[in-house]
Amino acid sequence: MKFKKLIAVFLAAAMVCGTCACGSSVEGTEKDVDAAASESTDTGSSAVAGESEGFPLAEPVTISVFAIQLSSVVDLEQNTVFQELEEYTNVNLDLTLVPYDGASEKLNLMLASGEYPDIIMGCYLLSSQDLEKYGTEEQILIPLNDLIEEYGIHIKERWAEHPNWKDEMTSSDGSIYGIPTADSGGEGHSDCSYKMWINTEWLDAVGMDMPQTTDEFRDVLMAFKNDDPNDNGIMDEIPLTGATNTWSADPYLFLLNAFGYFDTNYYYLKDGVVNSILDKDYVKEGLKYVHDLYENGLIDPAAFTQDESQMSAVGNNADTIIAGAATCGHVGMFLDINNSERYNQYEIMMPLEGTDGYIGIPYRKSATVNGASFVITDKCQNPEIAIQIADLFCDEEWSVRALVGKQSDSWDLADEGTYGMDGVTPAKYKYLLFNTMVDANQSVDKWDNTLRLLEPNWKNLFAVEGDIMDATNYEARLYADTVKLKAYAADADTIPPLTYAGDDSTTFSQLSTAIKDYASNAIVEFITGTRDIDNGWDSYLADLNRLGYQDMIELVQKTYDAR
Amino acid sequence: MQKRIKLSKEDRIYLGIVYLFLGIFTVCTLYPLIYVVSCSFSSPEALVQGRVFFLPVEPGLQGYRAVLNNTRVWRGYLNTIIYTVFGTVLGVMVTIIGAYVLSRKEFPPRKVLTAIFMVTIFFGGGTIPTYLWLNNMKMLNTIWAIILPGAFNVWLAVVGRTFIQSSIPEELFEATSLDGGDYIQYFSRVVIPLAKPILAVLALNFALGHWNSYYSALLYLNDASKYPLQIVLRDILIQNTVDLTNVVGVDVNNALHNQYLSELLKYSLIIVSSLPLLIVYPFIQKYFIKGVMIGSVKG
Repeated sequence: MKFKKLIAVFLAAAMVCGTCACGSSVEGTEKDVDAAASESTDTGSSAVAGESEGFPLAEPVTISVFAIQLSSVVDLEQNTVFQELEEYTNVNLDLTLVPYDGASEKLNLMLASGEYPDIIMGCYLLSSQDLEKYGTEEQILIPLNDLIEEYGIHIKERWAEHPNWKDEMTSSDGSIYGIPTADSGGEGHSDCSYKMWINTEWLDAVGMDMPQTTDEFRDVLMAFKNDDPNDNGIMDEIPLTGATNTWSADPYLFLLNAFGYFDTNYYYLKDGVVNSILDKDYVKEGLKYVHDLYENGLIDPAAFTQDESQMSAVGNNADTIIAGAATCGHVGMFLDINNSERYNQYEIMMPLEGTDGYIGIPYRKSATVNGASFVITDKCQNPEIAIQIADLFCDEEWSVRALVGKQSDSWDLADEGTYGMDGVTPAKYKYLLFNTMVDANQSVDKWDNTLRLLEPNWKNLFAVEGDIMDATNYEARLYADTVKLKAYAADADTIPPLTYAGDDSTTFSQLSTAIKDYASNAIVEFITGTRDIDNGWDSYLADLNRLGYQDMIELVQKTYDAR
Repeated sequence: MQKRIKLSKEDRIYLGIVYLFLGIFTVCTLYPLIYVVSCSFSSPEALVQGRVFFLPVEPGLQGYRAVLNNTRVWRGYLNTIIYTVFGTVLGVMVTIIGAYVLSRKEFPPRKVLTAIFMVTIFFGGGTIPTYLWLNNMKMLNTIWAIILPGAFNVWLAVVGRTFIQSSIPEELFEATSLDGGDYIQYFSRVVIPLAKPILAVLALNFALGHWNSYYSALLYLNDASKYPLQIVLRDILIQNTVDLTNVVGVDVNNALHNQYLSELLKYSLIIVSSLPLLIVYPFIQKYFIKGVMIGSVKG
């Protein structure tokens, strides 16, 4: 009996597997037929499409697309931006969707296997090295120069606004292989990310003014620590906190800049000369200062190890405020911006003046672009249609549609006499619905970073209404804060995206990875005192030399000069 | 007349210490589990503010509601169950058959085959060749790309072979032969019923592997509608923990949206994804105990 049962189970299993196999193979052949059919319509319609420029196309065309499915967006097929795009263009977009994490591995695999779609899109997906590899070397990507010349109306508008962009998009062989992302024209609050947020009520409580020098800042932190500014009778105050491995939240980034130029490229450009940072004496001075703060318990020891969410747990601590100041790219990383009482207490602190009178903060002076977020492969039968789709996202209309939502639903035309973020530009739109932290639903009417290309500065066209400290005006507040920092912009030039030729590319990435690893560790060791600054400095310099810090600087200089 | 032996003072102290250690140990293992459960039932505000320590704070179902409203989680769940069930059935069948063949000493190419199989443990074909191979076999973007390549698990086959050789007496084969049974009958009527513990081990290993499998699905599937749960989970959790250090610009609305989404879903997703295995495990566990017992008493 048992044997029969067993046989039955095996048979049943085999049958199920068999039907599955049949099912999938039938499906497969059907798909092949479909693909063949659409290919034949493609070739038929491309002639028509060529005649009638612009959307919607007279005849539908199928274009296959590699795209990233973001978890914050509903399935792309159900997303109204995607549906409207298909409707508007009369192009049937055949999607290959990959998850955000692992997208570049998957892309490399597909490109290596020779089975890839017509268009590849995804914000910041391809680096300039990828463009060199798949464009210049392997010729998988097609050059877009002529296509942009003929069809890229809006792309050319953006080039006119930012003359440097065309060069930055051009690979070493003179071809343009992809269109990069420029969030709202690449301008806005991320021009300066080394920001310090300080609690002004605490400043009042300890009776001190906004600190302007490193010494004053030290006194303020000391007072935060000892004078019980949150008035609960317990010494639970954390004078300064931060986080690591996130957007510019390491406390030393802001503080070291009080002594001289410092950023995590570990080099900077000034009048055509690439300068080193890590081996400078001012870094040593700065580290001594930060170490002194740390020694006196003025910096949260967790700041060098915790991640963003742990930092925000400190900032959002229930009932009582326990953090006096925090470093992070935007204050929403540190606290819930909807908690208006607390959100209002933290103000941006201006860069500090160091002991030798230096003052400055790294500030991006012109918007740059690099890599690509949209490329066309050699499989594409209708590149002129593909480039026109890309061109749509280099304009206001579709950028606003994809990132804000539907008109009269999420936004509408602005009222007379209202102004954008800079307070000068007359507003064109206004927000009706603004996503703040409380919304955990997947977006249906927007698609976030699914595709963003060379955008005009559309954020500045949205009216800022009411108090700038409202959570709904968060971006405007950040922008206003960032503009204040502009006066302190460090005396360094923005480094254009550099394309390292051939082997230099590997050499550079090896050198910079090793140095970044070593430097970020060494800095924390110096600050926390596991390594003595005076005694350890020479061996630190020797290590930098051994890791090829000077070679890296020379390589950057060489590539910059050859540009 | 049964009298309990009275414990001496030393014994009691000793036992006390043992219980204390065991208690501490239990707390250490249980606490993280309870913490995750509590977090999943707490309000997101309480989570962000770090107010949850042991019991849920401001209990609610917000996290679960968000998970269950997320259509992709549901479909991922269904896909994972399909991959797990078929992958396990297929894997166990293929592997136990392989194990049986390798266990027969009179099978001449046994050693050569074992050696060939062993090589694949140490050397794989590499990602791109495997991808190309699956592509040429027209298996990409189908269930087969997920369940077929790993169906014969060499390591588990070796475990199975050892089990069959050591736990099923050779005399049973002689008895079967005397009664006129051949190799297939011996396998299906004698080996399989006696190998239940090892079948359970194989099934659990395959099921666990398929339940947690992430990378092959990422590489070999192209439709979001075919993704297993792990990809969906990882995607939701990872999105705000991206390394932002090298990003050129940060769109704050986007960043805040993702930050909140993942904070809210983190714990409820862990519970939702591990619940089925937590439920199934006790039922399979008895076979493990049996498996340990078999072979311990030799008569």
